[in-house]
Amino acid sequence: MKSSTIRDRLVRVVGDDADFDDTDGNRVTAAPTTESACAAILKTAHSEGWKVRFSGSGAGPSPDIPADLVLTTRRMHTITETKPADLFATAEAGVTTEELKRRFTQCGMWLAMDPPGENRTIGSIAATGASGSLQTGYGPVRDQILGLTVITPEGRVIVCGGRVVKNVAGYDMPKLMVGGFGAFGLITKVHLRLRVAPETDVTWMASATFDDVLNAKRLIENSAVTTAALELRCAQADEWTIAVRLVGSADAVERHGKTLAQTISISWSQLHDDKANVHWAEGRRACVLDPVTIRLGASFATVAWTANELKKTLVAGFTTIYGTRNVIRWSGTANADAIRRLRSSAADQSVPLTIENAPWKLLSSEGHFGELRSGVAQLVSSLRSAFDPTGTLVIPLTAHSA
Amino acid sequence: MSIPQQALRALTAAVGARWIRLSDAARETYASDGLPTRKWRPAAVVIPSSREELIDVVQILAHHRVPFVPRGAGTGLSGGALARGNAVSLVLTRLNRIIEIDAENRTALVEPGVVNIKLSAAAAPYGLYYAPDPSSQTACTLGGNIAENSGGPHCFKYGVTTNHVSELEVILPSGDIVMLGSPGGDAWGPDLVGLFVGSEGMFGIASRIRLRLVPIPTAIRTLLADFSSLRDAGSAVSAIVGSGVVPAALEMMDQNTVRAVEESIYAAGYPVDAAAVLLVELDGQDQAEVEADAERVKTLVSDHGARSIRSASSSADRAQLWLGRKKAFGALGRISPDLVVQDAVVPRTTLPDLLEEIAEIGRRYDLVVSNVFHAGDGNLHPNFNFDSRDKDQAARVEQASSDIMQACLRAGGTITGEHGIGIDKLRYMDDMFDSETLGAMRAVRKVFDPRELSNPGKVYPVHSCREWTTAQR
Repeated sequence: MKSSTIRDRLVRVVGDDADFDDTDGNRVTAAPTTESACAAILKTAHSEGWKVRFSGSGAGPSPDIPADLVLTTRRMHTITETKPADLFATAEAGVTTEELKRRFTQCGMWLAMDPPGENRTIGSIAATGASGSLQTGYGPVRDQILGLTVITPEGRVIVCGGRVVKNVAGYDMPKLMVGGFGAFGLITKVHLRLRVAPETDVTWMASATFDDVLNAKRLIENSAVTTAALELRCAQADEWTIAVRLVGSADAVERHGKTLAQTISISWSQLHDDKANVHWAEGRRACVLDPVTIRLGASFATVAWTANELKKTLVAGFTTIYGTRNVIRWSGTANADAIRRLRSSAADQSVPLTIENAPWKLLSSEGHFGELRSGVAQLVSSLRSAFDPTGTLVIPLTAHSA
Repeated sequence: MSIPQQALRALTAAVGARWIRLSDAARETYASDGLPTRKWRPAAVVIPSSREELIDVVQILAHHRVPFVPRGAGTGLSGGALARGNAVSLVLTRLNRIIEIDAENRTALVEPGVVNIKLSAAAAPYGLYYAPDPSSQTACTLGGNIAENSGGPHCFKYGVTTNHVSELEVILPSGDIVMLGSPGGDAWGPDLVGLFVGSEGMFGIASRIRLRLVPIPTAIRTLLADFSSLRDAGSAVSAIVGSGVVPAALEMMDQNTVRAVEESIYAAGYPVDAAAVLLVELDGQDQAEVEADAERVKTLVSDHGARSIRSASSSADRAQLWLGRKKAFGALGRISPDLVVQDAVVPRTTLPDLLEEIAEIGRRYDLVVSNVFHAGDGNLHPNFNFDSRDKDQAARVEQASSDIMQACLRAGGTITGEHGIGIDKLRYMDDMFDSETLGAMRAVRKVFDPRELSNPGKVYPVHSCREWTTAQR
């Protein structure tokens, strides 16, 4: 269908509630400002049989995903509520991480989340569930999200979870949505768990061989040092760094720093604020620069094996290992065959491989999650059918599911 | 109602006649859980002893389309483990093996019937423990904790059950077996472990559970601060949380609770003239940091009106302080024939107002309300002592509970923080969720259990759920 026809149809449905762009001729981009407009657009797409993909700021998944319509949340960019005393905030899906940081810093709050990429929207972060180095101390993205609003392709608005830190009313639907890559609907609003901004924030770093940084990781994890972030990084072949982020009171951070230096005998240096910020920002940026980004969920016992298998199977890329959670993220260039081989060998060790981002050709053949385990594939397929019965959303969760 | 004879014969062959209970007296034993206001008698009670027997039982029940209700120790407080009509109570307490403590990976693999506290005891030689600690942890089972996404006092710092589960083997209500999650904890596909935890036994039975363990803290300080008003105590909670100090636990008890504890065998030396006491625990691996945080907490509670602050002088003293808190429900339970333990969560800053409103609700219905709760999380537990034989009083308890739920919802909170919906909270679900969201929950449940055989009649009120089609692509 012509993009101009789609645009005209949607203009009739939502009027001024959305901006439209159909300049590339093949697809329309719709940028609504309200949940009701999102619901109306999705419902129309569903009834017309159009294929839809979601977008945040545009920094997320591959732009080459084939779709008749791109639905972006970039104009839904209001932080609707901030309650510092309750350590809670609500943001529309199109609010960027930079804006959240700026707003929360103003009131002495902190969102313990540092996902890969720059200027990403909170909706995109929730959809991909992609966590960064702070998962070491604060858990993954899913632990920072208290509730969210999702709109299904049929235009159903679902309000999941709540606004308080403990909540078992009904099923834990946010868990299904966070990290579901939008396959169950468009996330339009997110309730966030905040923390008090730390008094002191210090980063220690050292360069060493892989074996040495891995050994240092083990020692730190078994020491009295409490880390907000513990990250091993390899930007070039066999050149590894270890970085430790310590936050808290000045006394505690100083003491942990001393313990760190005494416990692990490698050449530590303390990074001053600017350099520390640059270090962490580089890490976030570098792991999405290349065409393919994957995540491997190892364990304490399998993290070394997984890192070595990764090195053996794929060409050199930007590799990051997050302490305590033992998640490995790799970004580089890879073909489907290599990903398949790595996924298969990792699965033999019970290590899941998730493709966070890849060109459409690779993503559509391998899927974000590949071949799921026996029985699970059927559950996921049925869940998708429940939320997206006619396959409106172009999101290849599993291999060859596009 | 009864279950088909063919099904009974097959169940008997699977687990042995001794482990199938059909008599009125035996079924009556399983007609209650920790919720005193509801009694449902199951058609039969089946008690398998192994994973293999459990699989057989679920497959038999699925084949004969017999509904069933998984049940652990029956300590739940929302009626979630009750079965009625032709439903079978499927008791999992004999599946109580700790299969493995994997110290290197800091995980444990357990069966669902393992009692919560026994896991920490088994992990202790490795310097590890299991953090979620419901007040019933000496009796409740880990399978039940998974079903309810249980919390506990120390969840303020360490998170609730869902934060500690990495992998589950699940027997679906069809009898099929699936593995969810991964040993390291990263999701394998969409986060179905996160979805399963807290599903109240309606998605199937977790037959093997891999849980995260954490290092035992080497430094602990436990403080008891007492206040002359609930409002001061509530303000102190907000001050502590807002300071950036993260206590392991931040618990509050009001005067009625304190007096009940002090008059019981669990007496902990709480000051009985206090309007409220705060039990604050700080822990970690760094003694100096814990001491510094404790001093900061002392200053904060003093600034907010604490009359006195007691610091546990020994591990025995600490244990005594905690015994009073953890057995507070037991102490309250001895006052009257029945005790309703309510559960709701509100934003922390609304705690002082809510506590006053709860007291007013108690007065309105001529009921004694006692509060013992996880103040750091804003997780309230108002308790009503009553006699269920007094129908008028029982009705007032129901009405007062309803008023408290509405007050918590108005404050921006939720109707349950850790006890679950079960049958007790079913009537409030459409106050909290619209029909579309409830319909979504039912649609998700039907993915796991298309025939709605597992724990029927819980969590969502069917009449409030908007219809969802489940067309196959």
